[in-house]
Amino acid sequence: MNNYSKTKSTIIFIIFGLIFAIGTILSFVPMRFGSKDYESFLGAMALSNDCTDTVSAIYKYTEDENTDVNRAIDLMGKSLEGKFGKNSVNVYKLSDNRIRVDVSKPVTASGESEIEEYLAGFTSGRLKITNNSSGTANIEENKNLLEIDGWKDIESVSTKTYKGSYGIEVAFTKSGKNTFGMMIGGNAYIYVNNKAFPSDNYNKVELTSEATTFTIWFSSNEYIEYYKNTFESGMIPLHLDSETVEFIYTKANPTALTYISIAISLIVLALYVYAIVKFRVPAIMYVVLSNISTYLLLFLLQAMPWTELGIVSIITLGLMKMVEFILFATIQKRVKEEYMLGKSIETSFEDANKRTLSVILDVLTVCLLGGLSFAIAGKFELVTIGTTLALSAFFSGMVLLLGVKYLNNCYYAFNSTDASFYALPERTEGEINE
Amino acid sequence: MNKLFKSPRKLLSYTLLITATIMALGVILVAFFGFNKSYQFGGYYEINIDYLDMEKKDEYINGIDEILNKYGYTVDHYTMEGEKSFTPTLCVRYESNSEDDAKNIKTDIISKFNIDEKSTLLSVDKMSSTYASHKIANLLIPMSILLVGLFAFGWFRRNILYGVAEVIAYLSTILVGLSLYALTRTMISLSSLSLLFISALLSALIFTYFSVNAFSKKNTIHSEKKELSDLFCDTLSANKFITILPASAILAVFAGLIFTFNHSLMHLGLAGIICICSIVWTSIFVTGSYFVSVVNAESKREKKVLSRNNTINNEK
Repeated sequence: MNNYSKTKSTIIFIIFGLIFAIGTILSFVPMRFGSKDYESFLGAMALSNDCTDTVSAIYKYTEDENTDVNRAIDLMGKSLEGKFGKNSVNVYKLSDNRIRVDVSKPVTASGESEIEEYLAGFTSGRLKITNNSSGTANIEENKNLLEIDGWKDIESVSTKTYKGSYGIEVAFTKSGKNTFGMMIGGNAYIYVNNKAFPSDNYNKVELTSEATTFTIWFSSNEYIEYYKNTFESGMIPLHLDSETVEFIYTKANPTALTYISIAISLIVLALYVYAIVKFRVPAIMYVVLSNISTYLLLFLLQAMPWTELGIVSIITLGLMKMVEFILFATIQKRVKEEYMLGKSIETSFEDANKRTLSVILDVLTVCLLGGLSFAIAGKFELVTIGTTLALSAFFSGMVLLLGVKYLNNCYYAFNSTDASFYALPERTEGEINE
Repeated sequence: MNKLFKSPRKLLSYTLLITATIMALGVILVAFFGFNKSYQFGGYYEINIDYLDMEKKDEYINGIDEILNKYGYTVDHYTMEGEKSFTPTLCVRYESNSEDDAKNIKTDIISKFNIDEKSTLLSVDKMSSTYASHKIANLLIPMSILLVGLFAFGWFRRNILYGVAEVIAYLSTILVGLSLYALTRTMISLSSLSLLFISALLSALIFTYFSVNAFSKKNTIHSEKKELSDLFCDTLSANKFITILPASAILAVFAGLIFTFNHSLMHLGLAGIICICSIVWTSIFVTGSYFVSVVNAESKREKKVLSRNNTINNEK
């Protein structure tokens, strides 16, 4: 058993303590990473379970020869998902030529008015490009300025690349006083369905000589999909009546799954408290490491494109934490048994870790098998369940086999002989129990 | 527990008998009455009616109930959406396979509530089972892969008997669970089936935990002469509390759902309780007794061979 110096151990404890504290704060505070909204733990429980306030819009439409309701629903859904997140949007047809859109208020939205403004944009126009932020056309005889007069219909949207730059080409109906040219990003304002796209994300906008297409150029492909979906929504084959749009505001309404996930989270918390009371110092190390692995897992589940953090992943994570607790308690019981055979504290921990290695590896291998089966062969929520299972098994292994052992080594630098810190019973000199 | 596992073969025969009885009763019930399937599996019609006057909500529900009773049906479930909306929607589901009855019901609703026949404010449509069937198919493939994976893991880790034991733990949980669903008329929905399949994995997990604990004790100096059945019992007793603690907490959560007195939540709670009982029964009693009796039989055979060899050597 390697014992570290007190200085080294103190530094290690401080580092882990800081990581734990930051992770705990992030559990309750949502944040934005680049283009992604990273949900807090509670935010994840609220997602897709009616635990957020919802803004809904009901549109009435009139039918003509170009009407395609299913395609319109698909385009509106994609546009909204790109803005507000996959789990936050629901678009469906009602009777009597009506469409309903529900948007659960995401954590990064400034308020209900932002959602309402976006929803209203589906009715109020199609495409407009100007060179000023007020949205009015300003025609000048300068070929370096790009001008399109008034609202146009979008005909097609496609993506292209050129020498490391990414572009979206939009074809629109030709009319009026269009001129050709190029505009540097800072001077172009694009409006789609009355929603403005300021130039923060793109480098330039250029109009072809025939004045029927324009291309927006980006230095990276980060926003391509989002802009493409939004421009395509400008092609909605449906005439939505702006006069009869109705907005509904619904307050949060938790479902059974929400309560189950809250209950499972509370059970895990109770198990942590029980572990600390029963096993003392090693349990504190275990709880810190287990929580750090949970935060890492929540982060990874949101970062991976094939998983969605939500109730299902929270419940799966909770169940895996219970399995981890059982394995930790097994190790500690084994430590006690080894100690009562007359071994020293360090030797007891070493031998207990060796003897329980097969138990931990076998149990976590079964979890990993289950996780991989679901993740690889499953679809939709099964992929999330499988990924959560597999990653939890991996992290639990790291926590139990390496992490707790490592931190225990650090603790030995401060106090290695007092058995009460490890919740080991009093033992007189030379006493051996079988 | 020690007494139960003292003669594992006897315990195995009792557990198999009980399990076979449960499954047989389940099969008989399913043959005559089928499962209590939720609307997700089809066999239901859905009435959607948009109404203008919020005060008339109860009048619509009672009226539709009367019309359904006339044709021998009852309201299985109803929901209301958009209560703050200009036209809220009442959605009523009833169990039926008759297209003709659906048309007659629609006609009766139109005449009862004076709805314009050409209006799109009322619809009576058959609920498709395509979504549920698709989801079940999505579930079966990974479950089959997991079954093969568990067998392979058990075989390579120890021996073929251990692999068979893992498969027994997994499969018997599903079969016992489905039989209990049939016996208790618990509603089969995508949620209850997902719960059952996850329970099957947990069952294999729990069997692995206890059996590997027993094996690891067998490898120590103090216990190498002990029978595996005794070590298995010792493991069960020693780790009883730490496994019962989280299991009973989850059981309490599912039991709490029953007391919500909400139709779907009650069935989900019941499904959860059945799953936990299946896990305990199959992982410890069925699979435990099977594996211990098989291993004990193997070790007895080995001892016989050894003692015969010793006798032959002594005679020489």
